[in-house]
Amino acid sequence: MRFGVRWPSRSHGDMPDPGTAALLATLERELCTTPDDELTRAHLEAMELEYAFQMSQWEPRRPRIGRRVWALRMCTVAAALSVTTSLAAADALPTPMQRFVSAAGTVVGISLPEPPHKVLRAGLQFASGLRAFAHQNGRGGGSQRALAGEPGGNTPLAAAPGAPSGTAGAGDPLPGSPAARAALVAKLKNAKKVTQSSSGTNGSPGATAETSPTLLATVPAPDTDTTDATTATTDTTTTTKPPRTRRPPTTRTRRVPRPPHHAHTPHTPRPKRPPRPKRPPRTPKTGSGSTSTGTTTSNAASTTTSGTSATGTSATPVS
Amino acid sequence: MRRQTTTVGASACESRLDRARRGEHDALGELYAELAPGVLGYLRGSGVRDVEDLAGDVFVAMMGRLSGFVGDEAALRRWVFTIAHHRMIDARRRASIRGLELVAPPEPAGDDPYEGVVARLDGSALVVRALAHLTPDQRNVVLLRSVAHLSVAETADVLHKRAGAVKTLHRRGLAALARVVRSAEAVS
Repeated sequence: MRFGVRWPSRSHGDMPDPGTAALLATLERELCTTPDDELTRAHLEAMELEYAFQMSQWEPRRPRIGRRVWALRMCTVAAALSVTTSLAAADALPTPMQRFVSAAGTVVGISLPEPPHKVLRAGLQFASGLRAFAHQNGRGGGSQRALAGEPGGNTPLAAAPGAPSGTAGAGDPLPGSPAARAALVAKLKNAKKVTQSSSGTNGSPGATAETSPTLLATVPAPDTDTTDATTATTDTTTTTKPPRTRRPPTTRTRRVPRPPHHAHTPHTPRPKRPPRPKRPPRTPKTGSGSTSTGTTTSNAASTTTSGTSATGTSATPVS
Repeated sequence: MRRQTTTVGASACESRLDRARRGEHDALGELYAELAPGVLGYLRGSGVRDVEDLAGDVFVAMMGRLSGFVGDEAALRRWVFTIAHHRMIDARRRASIRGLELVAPPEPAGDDPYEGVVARLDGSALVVRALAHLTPDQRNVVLLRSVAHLSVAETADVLHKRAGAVKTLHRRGLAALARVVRSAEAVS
Protein backbone atom coordinates (compact mmCIF):
# COMPACT_ATOMS: atom_id res chain seq x y z
CA MET A 1 0.00 0.00 0.00
CA ARG A 2 1.41 3.35 -1.00
CA PHE A 3 1.02 6.50 1.03
CA GLY A 4 1.47 9.78 -0.66
CA VAL A 5 1.48 13.28 0.54
CA ARG A 6 -1.66 14.91 -0.63
CA TRP A 7 -0.90 18.52 -1.28
CA PRO A 8 -3.85 20.81 -0.98
CA SER A 9 -4.78 23.27 -3.62
CA ARG A 10 -2.62 26.26 -4.37
CA SER A 11 -4.88 28.50 -2.35
CA HIS A 12 -3.50 26.91 0.79
CA GLY A 13 0.07 27.64 -0.11
CA ASP A 14 2.68 25.03 0.66
CA MET A 15 0.80 23.62 3.62
CA PRO A 16 0.74 19.82 3.52
CA ASP A 17 -2.25 17.77 4.45
CA PRO A 18 -3.22 17.43 8.09
CA GLY A 19 -1.55 14.08 8.40
CA THR A 20 1.75 15.37 7.19
CA ALA A 21 1.40 18.45 9.34
CA ALA A 22 0.88 16.27 12.37
CA LEU A 23 3.90 14.29 11.38
CA LEU A 24 6.05 17.39 11.13
CA ALA A 25 4.72 18.66 14.44
CA THR A 26 5.70 15.43 16.07
CA LEU A 27 9.11 15.64 14.45
CA GLU A 28 9.67 19.10 15.75
CA ARG A 29 8.50 18.26 19.20
CA GLU A 30 10.82 15.32 19.44
CA LEU A 31 13.87 16.98 17.96
CA CYS A 32 13.67 20.58 19.08
CA THR A 33 14.11 20.16 22.75
CA THR A 34 15.10 23.01 24.93
CA PRO A 35 18.51 22.38 26.41
CA ASP A 36 18.64 21.98 30.13
CA ASP A 37 20.24 24.57 32.40
CA GLU A 38 23.49 22.72 32.78
CA LEU A 39 23.97 22.48 29.05
CA THR A 40 22.98 26.09 28.55
CA ARG A 41 25.43 27.26 31.20
CA ALA A 42 28.22 25.19 29.70
CA HIS A 43 27.59 26.57 26.25
CA LEU A 44 27.37 30.13 27.45
CA GLU A 45 30.61 29.80 29.38
CA ALA A 46 32.27 28.43 26.28
CA MET A 47 30.97 31.37 24.27
CA GLU A 48 32.22 33.88 26.82
CA LEU A 49 35.60 32.22 26.91
CA GLU A 50 35.73 32.43 23.16
CA TYR A 51 34.82 36.10 23.35
CA ALA A 52 37.53 36.74 25.92
CA PHE A 53 40.03 34.92 23.75
CA GLN A 54 39.06 36.99 20.77
CA MET A 55 39.43 40.17 22.77
CA SER A 56 42.87 39.11 23.96
CA GLN A 57 43.90 38.38 20.40
CA TRP A 58 42.52 41.64 19.09
CA GLU A 59 44.99 44.28 18.06
CA PRO A 60 44.54 47.39 16.02
CA ARG A 61 45.02 46.89 12.36
CA ARG A 62 48.06 48.37 10.86
CA PRO A 63 47.20 50.84 8.18
CA ARG A 64 47.49 49.44 4.73
CA ILE A 65 49.81 50.69 2.08
CA GLY A 66 46.98 52.51 0.36
CA ARG A 67 46.19 54.43 3.50
CA ARG A 68 49.84 55.25 4.00
CA VAL A 69 50.10 56.54 0.46
CA TRP A 70 46.96 58.56 0.98
CA ALA A 71 48.32 60.02 4.20
CA LEU A 72 51.60 60.81 2.48
CA ARG A 73 49.79 62.60 -0.32
CA MET A 74 47.73 64.61 2.10
CA CYS A 75 50.81 65.61 4.05
CA THR A 76 52.54 66.65 0.84
CA VAL A 77 49.61 68.75 -0.25
CA ALA A 78 49.34 70.38 3.16
CA ALA A 79 53.04 71.18 3.19
CA ALA A 80 52.89 72.67 -0.29
CA LEU A 81 49.88 74.79 0.63
CA SER A 82 51.49 76.03 3.80
CA VAL A 83 54.74 76.93 2.05
CA THR A 84 52.90 78.67 -0.77
CA THR A 85 50.74 80.62 1.64
CA SER A 86 53.73 81.65 3.69
CA LEU A 87 55.60 82.87 0.65
CA ALA A 88 52.52 84.68 -0.56
CA ALA A 89 52.10 86.34 2.82
CA ALA A 90 55.70 87.47 2.62
CA ASP A 91 55.06 88.71 -0.95
CA ALA A 92 57.99 86.62 -2.12
CA LEU A 93 56.28 84.76 -4.92
CA PRO A 94 56.58 85.68 -8.58
CA THR A 95 53.98 88.15 -9.72
CA PRO A 96 51.61 85.78 -11.59
CA MET A 97 51.84 83.22 -8.82
CA GLN A 98 51.35 85.89 -6.20
CA ARG A 99 48.28 87.17 -7.99
CA PHE A 100 46.85 83.67 -8.32
CA VAL A 101 47.48 82.77 -4.69
CA SER A 102 46.05 86.04 -3.45
CA ALA A 103 42.92 85.46 -5.54
CA ALA A 104 42.59 81.95 -4.17
CA GLY A 105 43.11 83.23 -0.65
CA THR A 106 40.42 85.84 -1.19
CA VAL A 107 38.00 83.10 -2.16
CA VAL A 108 38.89 81.11 0.93
CA GLY A 109 38.82 84.16 3.15
CA ILE A 110 42.51 84.87 3.62
CA SER A 111 43.78 88.31 2.75
CA LEU A 112 47.14 88.08 1.05
CA PRO A 113 49.10 90.94 -0.50
CA GLU A 114 48.27 91.31 -4.16
CA PRO A 115 50.86 92.70 -6.54
CA PRO A 116 49.93 96.02 -8.23
CA HIS A 117 48.83 96.20 -11.80
CA LYS A 118 51.42 96.38 -14.54
CA VAL A 119 50.83 100.03 -15.37
CA LEU A 120 50.65 101.02 -11.74
CA ARG A 121 53.78 99.07 -10.99
CA ALA A 122 55.61 100.80 -13.82
CA GLY A 123 54.47 104.16 -12.47
CA LEU A 124 55.64 103.32 -9.01
CA GLN A 125 58.97 102.20 -10.31
CA PHE A 126 59.33 105.42 -12.27
CA ALA A 127 58.46 107.47 -9.23
CA SER A 128 60.91 105.60 -7.06
CA GLY A 129 63.57 106.06 -9.71
CA LEU A 130 62.93 109.77 -9.81
CA ARG A 131 63.11 109.98 -6.06
CA ALA A 132 66.36 108.06 -5.99
CA PHE A 133 67.82 110.27 -8.69
CA ALA A 134 66.84 113.37 -6.78
CA HIS A 135 68.37 112.09 -3.59
CA GLN A 136 71.56 111.10 -5.36
CA ASN A 137 71.99 114.54 -6.90
CA GLY A 138 71.04 116.26 -3.70
CA ARG A 139 68.57 118.53 -5.36
CA GLY A 140 65.23 117.00 -5.12
CA GLY A 141 62.48 118.69 -7.01
CA GLY A 142 60.34 121.14 -5.25
CA SER A 143 57.25 119.15 -5.77
CA GLN A 144 58.95 115.99 -4.53
CA ARG A 145 60.24 117.74 -1.50
CA ALA A 146 56.83 119.07 -0.86
CA LEU A 147 55.48 115.56 -1.12
CA ALA A 148 58.16 114.30 1.18
CA GLY A 149 57.51 117.08 3.64
CA GLU A 150 61.02 118.47 3.32
CA PRO A 151 61.76 122.16 3.46
CA GLY A 152 62.27 123.92 0.19
CA GLY A 153 59.33 122.36 -1.49
CA ASN A 154 57.01 124.11 -3.90
CA THR A 155 54.79 125.45 -1.24
CA PRO A 156 53.45 128.96 -1.09
CA LEU A 157 55.35 129.55 2.09
CA ALA A 158 58.64 128.61 0.47
CA ALA A 159 58.17 130.92 -2.49
CA ALA A 160 60.59 133.76 -2.21
CA PRO A 161 59.45 136.84 -4.15
CA GLY A 162 61.93 137.77 -6.80
CA ALA A 163 64.86 135.91 -5.47
CA PRO A 164 66.32 133.76 -8.16
CA SER A 165 68.41 130.98 -6.84
CA GLY A 166 71.22 129.10 -8.42
CA THR A 167 69.77 125.72 -7.97
CA ALA A 168 66.42 124.55 -8.99
CA GLY A 169 65.49 123.04 -5.66
CA ALA A 170 66.68 125.44 -3.07
CA GLY A 171 64.12 128.12 -2.46
CA ASP A 172 62.25 127.73 -5.66
CA PRO A 173 59.41 130.19 -5.98
CA LEU A 174 55.97 128.99 -6.73
CA PRO A 175 55.82 128.17 -10.43
CA GLY A 176 53.67 130.51 -12.38
CA SER A 177 53.99 133.27 -9.88
CA PRO A 178 55.41 136.71 -10.75
CA ALA A 179 58.45 135.90 -8.71
CA ALA A 180 59.14 132.84 -10.79
CA ARG A 181 58.71 134.84 -13.95
CA ALA A 182 61.14 137.45 -12.70
CA ALA A 183 63.65 134.80 -11.77
CA LEU A 184 63.44 133.21 -15.17
CA VAL A 185 63.88 136.53 -16.91
CA ALA A 186 66.94 137.20 -14.81
CA LYS A 187 68.34 133.81 -15.72
CA LEU A 188 67.74 134.45 -19.35
CA LYS A 189 69.52 137.75 -19.18
CA ASN A 190 72.48 136.14 -17.53
CA ALA A 191 72.51 133.48 -20.19
CA LYS A 192 72.42 136.12 -22.86
CA LYS A 193 75.42 137.85 -21.38
CA VAL A 194 77.31 134.62 -21.15
CA THR A 195 76.53 133.82 -24.75
CA GLN A 196 77.72 137.14 -25.99
CA SER A 197 80.92 136.99 -24.01
CA SER A 198 81.73 133.46 -25.09
CA SER A 199 80.89 133.90 -28.76
CA GLY A 200 82.94 137.09 -29.16
CA THR A 201 82.78 138.30 -32.75
CA ASN A 202 80.29 135.67 -33.67
CA GLY A 203 77.66 136.97 -31.32
CA SER A 204 75.64 139.48 -33.23
CA PRO A 205 72.97 141.62 -31.66
CA GLY A 206 70.51 140.37 -34.17
CA ALA A 207 70.98 136.78 -33.16
CA THR A 208 70.37 137.45 -29.52
CA ALA A 209 67.44 139.56 -30.36
CA GLU A 210 65.98 136.60 -32.16
CA THR A 211 66.51 134.10 -29.35
CA SER A 212 65.38 136.20 -26.50
CA PRO A 213 61.74 136.49 -27.50
CA THR A 214 61.67 132.78 -28.15
CA LEU A 215 62.98 131.99 -24.76
CA LEU A 216 60.84 134.56 -23.16
CA ALA A 217 57.83 133.10 -24.82
CA THR A 218 58.47 129.87 -22.94
CA VAL A 219 58.37 131.66 -19.64
CA PRO A 220 55.06 130.80 -18.14
CA ALA A 221 52.55 133.41 -17.51
CA PRO A 222 51.45 133.93 -13.96
CA ASP A 223 48.25 132.10 -14.65
CA THR A 224 49.86 128.95 -16.15
CA ASP A 225 50.06 125.73 -14.29
CA THR A 226 52.97 123.78 -12.91
CA THR A 227 53.68 121.79 -16.05
CA ASP A 228 54.42 124.92 -18.06
CA ALA A 229 56.62 126.20 -15.32
CA THR A 230 58.64 123.02 -15.43
CA THR A 231 59.09 123.37 -19.16
CA ALA A 232 60.19 126.94 -18.81
CA THR A 233 62.72 125.97 -16.18
CA THR A 234 64.16 123.42 -18.52
CA ASP A 235 64.51 126.01 -21.27
CA THR A 236 66.28 128.46 -19.03
CA THR A 237 68.68 125.78 -18.01
CA THR A 238 69.41 125.19 -21.66
CA THR A 239 70.15 128.85 -22.30
CA THR A 240 72.64 129.05 -19.47
CA LYS A 241 74.79 126.45 -21.14
CA PRO A 242 77.66 127.79 -23.24
CA PRO A 243 76.98 127.72 -26.94
CA ARG A 244 78.36 124.86 -28.81
CA THR A 245 81.40 125.77 -30.82
CA ARG A 246 82.02 124.14 -34.07
CA ARG A 247 85.19 122.30 -34.52
CA PRO A 248 87.75 124.13 -36.60
CA PRO A 249 87.98 122.79 -40.09
CA THR A 250 90.85 120.43 -40.47
CA THR A 251 93.14 120.46 -43.53
CA ARG A 252 92.71 117.34 -45.35
CA THR A 253 95.16 116.02 -47.85
CA ARG A 254 93.75 114.36 -50.79
CA ARG A 255 94.69 110.83 -50.90
CA VAL A 256 96.52 109.50 -53.85
CA PRO A 257 94.83 106.50 -55.15
CA ARG A 258 96.89 103.47 -54.61
CA PRO A 259 97.61 101.25 -57.50
CA PRO A 260 95.87 98.06 -57.54
CA HIS A 261 97.40 95.36 -55.55
CA HIS A 262 98.06 93.03 -58.48
CA ALA A 263 99.15 95.36 -61.24
CA HIS A 264 100.24 93.77 -64.48
CA THR A 265 103.87 94.42 -65.21
CA PRO A 266 105.64 93.08 -68.28
CA HIS A 267 108.00 90.30 -67.56
CA THR A 268 111.58 91.23 -68.19
CA PRO A 269 114.07 88.46 -68.38
CA ARG A 270 116.83 88.42 -65.90
CA PRO A 271 120.12 89.71 -67.28
CA LYS A 272 122.62 87.01 -67.68
CA ARG A 273 125.74 87.00 -65.69
CA PRO A 274 128.83 88.02 -67.50
CA PRO A 275 131.10 85.09 -68.09
CA ARG A 276 133.84 84.64 -65.67
CA PRO A 277 137.32 85.54 -66.86
CA LYS A 278 139.45 82.55 -67.37
CA ARG A 279 142.24 82.00 -65.05
CA PRO A 280 145.67 82.45 -66.36
CA PRO A 281 147.89 79.47 -66.10
CA ARG A 282 149.78 79.21 -62.92
CA THR A 283 153.42 80.15 -62.90
CA PRO A 284 155.88 78.11 -61.02
CA LYS A 285 157.32 79.67 -57.95
CA THR A 286 161.02 80.87 -58.05
CA GLY A 287 162.78 81.21 -54.75
CA SER A 288 165.51 83.79 -55.66
CA GLY A 289 163.38 85.91 -57.79
CA SER A 290 160.74 86.10 -55.25
CA THR A 291 163.21 86.86 -52.63
CA SER A 292 164.84 89.56 -54.61
CA THR A 293 161.88 91.27 -55.88
CA GLY A 294 159.62 90.46 -53.03
CA THR A 295 156.45 90.87 -55.10
CA THR A 296 154.17 87.93 -54.42
CA THR A 297 150.94 89.67 -53.90
CA SER A 298 149.29 88.83 -57.17
CA ASN A 299 149.92 86.39 -59.94
CA ALA A 300 149.70 88.91 -62.75
CA ALA A 301 151.93 91.35 -61.05
CA SER A 302 154.34 88.75 -60.16
CA THR A 303 154.27 87.48 -63.64
CA THR A 304 154.96 90.87 -65.00
CA THR A 305 157.66 91.64 -62.62
CA SER A 306 159.05 88.23 -62.85
CA GLY A 307 159.12 88.45 -66.62
CA THR A 308 160.83 91.65 -66.45
CA SER A 309 163.14 90.43 -63.96
CA ALA A 310 163.66 87.25 -65.92
CA THR A 311 164.65 89.11 -68.90
CA GLY A 312 166.86 91.11 -66.82
CA THR A 313 168.28 88.24 -64.92
CA SER A 314 168.06 85.69 -67.77
CA ALA A 315 165.91 83.35 -65.96
CA THR A 316 163.72 81.11 -68.04
CA PRO A 317 160.37 79.85 -67.01
CA VAL A 318 159.91 76.21 -66.60
CA SER A 319 157.13 74.79 -68.67
CA MET B 1 2.51 24.61 9.51
CA ARG B 2 3.15 28.14 10.53
CA ARG B 3 6.45 29.32 11.73
CA GLN B 4 6.63 29.87 15.43
CA THR B 5 9.73 31.99 15.56
CA THR B 6 9.52 35.00 17.74
CA THR B 7 9.35 38.15 15.72
CA VAL B 8 11.72 40.67 17.09
CA GLY B 9 11.89 44.21 15.93
CA ALA B 10 14.79 45.20 13.81
CA SER B 11 16.04 47.76 16.27
CA ALA B 12 15.72 45.41 19.22
CA CYS B 13 17.46 42.69 17.29
CA GLU B 14 20.24 45.02 16.34
CA SER B 15 20.61 46.18 19.89
CA ARG B 16 20.70 42.58 21.04
CA LEU B 17 23.27 41.77 18.41
CA ASP B 18 25.33 44.75 19.43
CA ARG B 19 25.21 43.72 23.04
CA ALA B 20 26.16 40.18 22.05
CA ARG B 21 29.11 41.56 20.10
CA ARG B 22 30.22 43.35 23.24
CA GLY B 23 30.05 40.03 25.10
CA GLU B 24 27.13 40.81 27.37
CA HIS B 25 25.88 37.72 29.17
CA ASP B 26 22.18 38.51 28.86
CA ALA B 27 22.28 39.09 25.13
CA LEU B 28 24.23 35.91 24.61
CA GLY B 29 21.72 34.00 26.73
CA GLU B 30 18.83 35.35 24.69
CA LEU B 31 20.46 34.44 21.42
CA TYR B 32 21.33 31.00 22.69
CA ALA B 33 17.80 30.37 23.98
CA GLU B 34 16.40 31.32 20.62
CA LEU B 35 18.78 29.40 18.41
CA ALA B 36 19.83 26.39 20.47
CA PRO B 37 16.64 24.25 20.12
CA GLY B 38 16.71 24.48 16.33
CA VAL B 39 20.40 23.70 16.16
CA LEU B 40 20.06 20.78 18.52
CA GLY B 41 17.05 19.46 16.61
CA TYR B 42 18.82 19.76 13.28
CA LEU B 43 21.91 17.97 14.53
CA ARG B 44 19.89 15.34 16.32
CA GLY B 45 17.73 14.68 13.27
CA SER B 46 20.84 14.41 11.12
CA GLY B 47 21.91 11.47 13.24
CA VAL B 48 25.05 13.02 14.65
CA ARG B 49 26.56 11.55 17.74
CA ASP B 50 27.49 13.89 20.56
CA VAL B 51 24.87 16.37 19.55
CA GLU B 52 25.44 18.65 22.51
CA ASP B 53 29.18 18.88 21.97
CA LEU B 54 28.69 19.65 18.33
CA ALA B 55 26.09 22.30 19.20
CA GLY B 56 28.59 23.81 21.62
CA ASP B 57 31.16 23.97 18.82
CA VAL B 58 28.62 25.69 16.62
CA PHE B 59 27.94 28.42 19.16
CA VAL B 60 31.58 28.89 19.96
CA ALA B 61 32.32 29.32 16.27
CA MET B 62 29.46 31.79 16.05
CA MET B 63 30.87 33.75 18.99
CA GLY B 64 34.31 33.84 17.44
CA ARG B 65 33.03 35.45 14.26
CA LEU B 66 30.20 37.54 15.67
CA SER B 67 32.29 40.72 15.72
CA GLY B 68 32.55 40.64 11.94
CA PHE B 69 28.94 39.66 11.32
CA VAL B 70 26.74 42.12 9.45
CA GLY B 71 23.00 41.54 9.16
CA ASP B 72 19.74 41.16 10.96
CA GLU B 73 18.19 38.33 12.93
CA ALA B 74 17.19 36.28 9.89
CA ALA B 75 20.67 36.54 8.52
CA LEU B 76 22.07 35.52 11.89
CA ARG B 77 19.76 32.51 12.00
CA ARG B 78 20.72 31.46 8.48
CA TRP B 79 24.36 31.93 9.31
CA VAL B 80 24.17 29.82 12.48
CA PHE B 81 22.47 26.96 10.65
CA THR B 82 25.07 27.17 7.92
CA ILE B 83 27.73 26.70 10.57
CA ALA B 84 25.76 23.79 12.03
CA HIS B 85 25.43 22.18 8.59
CA HIS B 86 29.16 22.45 7.97
CA ARG B 87 29.92 21.04 11.39
CA MET B 88 27.57 18.17 10.75
CA ILE B 89 29.31 17.35 7.49
CA ASP B 90 32.67 17.47 9.22
CA ALA B 91 31.38 15.12 11.92
CA ARG B 92 30.15 12.72 9.29
CA ARG B 93 33.47 12.73 7.53
CA ARG B 94 35.30 12.11 10.76
CA ALA B 95 32.87 9.29 11.61
CA SER B 96 33.29 7.70 8.20
CA ILE B 97 37.06 7.86 8.57
CA ARG B 98 36.84 6.20 11.98
CA GLY B 99 34.42 3.58 10.72
CA LEU B 100 31.61 4.68 12.95
CA GLU B 101 27.99 4.92 11.93
CA LEU B 102 26.07 7.99 12.92
CA VAL B 103 22.68 6.39 13.30
CA ALA B 104 22.05 2.71 13.21
CA PRO B 105 19.73 2.27 10.26
CA PRO B 106 16.82 -0.04 10.81
CA GLU B 107 17.17 -3.47 9.28
CA PRO B 108 14.67 -3.95 6.48
CA ALA B 109 12.76 -7.23 6.68
CA GLY B 110 10.80 -8.88 3.95
CA ASP B 111 9.86 -7.35 0.66
CA ASP B 112 8.74 -4.05 2.04
CA PRO B 113 11.81 -2.22 3.27
CA TYR B 114 9.77 -0.16 5.69
CA GLU B 115 7.90 -3.05 7.15
CA GLY B 116 10.48 -4.05 9.68
CA VAL B 117 11.20 -0.47 10.60
CA VAL B 118 7.63 0.37 11.28
CA ALA B 119 7.30 -2.73 13.32
CA ARG B 120 9.89 -1.46 15.71
CA LEU B 121 8.69 2.12 15.91
CA ASP B 122 5.97 3.44 18.01
CA GLY B 123 4.76 6.88 18.81
CA SER B 124 6.93 9.89 18.28
CA ALA B 125 10.07 7.84 18.22
CA LEU B 126 8.73 6.29 15.08
CA VAL B 127 8.77 9.61 13.29
CA VAL B 128 12.29 10.43 14.38
CA ARG B 129 13.69 7.13 13.35
CA ALA B 130 11.85 7.27 10.07
CA LEU B 131 14.25 10.04 9.07
CA ALA B 132 16.96 7.46 8.68
CA HIS B 133 15.16 6.19 5.60
CA LEU B 134 15.50 9.46 3.79
CA THR B 135 18.41 10.42 1.66
CA PRO B 136 20.85 12.87 3.26
CA ASP B 137 19.67 15.73 1.09
CA GLN B 138 16.00 14.99 1.78
CA ARG B 139 16.71 14.72 5.48
CA ASN B 140 18.60 17.99 5.56
CA VAL B 141 15.91 19.81 3.66
CA VAL B 142 13.12 18.41 5.81
CA LEU B 143 14.96 19.27 8.98
CA LEU B 144 15.87 22.78 7.93
CA ARG B 145 12.42 23.55 6.65
CA SER B 146 10.46 21.90 9.51
CA VAL B 147 12.75 22.09 12.54
CA ALA B 148 14.86 25.20 11.86
CA HIS B 149 11.93 26.96 10.15
CA LEU B 150 14.00 28.31 7.32
CA SER B 151 12.39 29.40 4.11
CA VAL B 152 13.08 27.76 0.77
CA ALA B 153 15.56 30.45 -0.17
CA GLU B 154 17.33 30.28 3.17
CA THR B 155 17.47 26.49 3.00
CA ALA B 156 18.86 26.68 -0.49
CA ASP B 157 21.44 29.16 0.74
CA VAL B 158 22.49 26.94 3.63
CA LEU B 159 22.70 23.77 1.54
CA HIS B 160 24.19 25.54 -1.49
CA LYS B 161 21.36 24.35 -3.71
CA ARG B 162 18.79 25.98 -5.90
CA ALA B 163 15.34 26.80 -4.62
CA GLY B 164 13.68 24.41 -7.06
CA ALA B 165 15.87 21.56 -5.91
CA VAL B 166 15.06 22.37 -2.31
CA LYS B 167 11.32 22.25 -3.04
CA THR B 168 11.61 18.93 -4.81
CA LEU B 169 13.72 17.43 -2.05
CA HIS B 170 11.32 18.68 0.56
CA ARG B 171 8.29 17.19 -1.20
CA ARG B 172 9.90 13.84 -1.77
CA GLY B 173 11.25 13.71 1.75
CA LEU B 174 7.88 14.39 3.27
CA ALA B 175 6.27 11.78 1.01
CA ALA B 176 8.80 9.20 2.04
CA LEU B 177 8.41 10.08 5.67
CA ALA B 178 4.64 9.85 5.49
CA ARG B 179 4.84 6.57 3.67
CA VAL B 180 7.03 5.09 6.39
CA VAL B 181 4.87 6.37 9.20
CA ARG B 182 1.58 5.30 7.68
CA SER B 183 2.86 1.91 6.87
CA ALA B 184 3.91 1.60 10.47
CA GLU B 185 0.53 2.73 11.67
CA ALA B 186 -1.15 0.27 9.34
CA VAL B 187 0.96 -2.54 10.74
CA SER B 188 0.25 -1.57 14.27
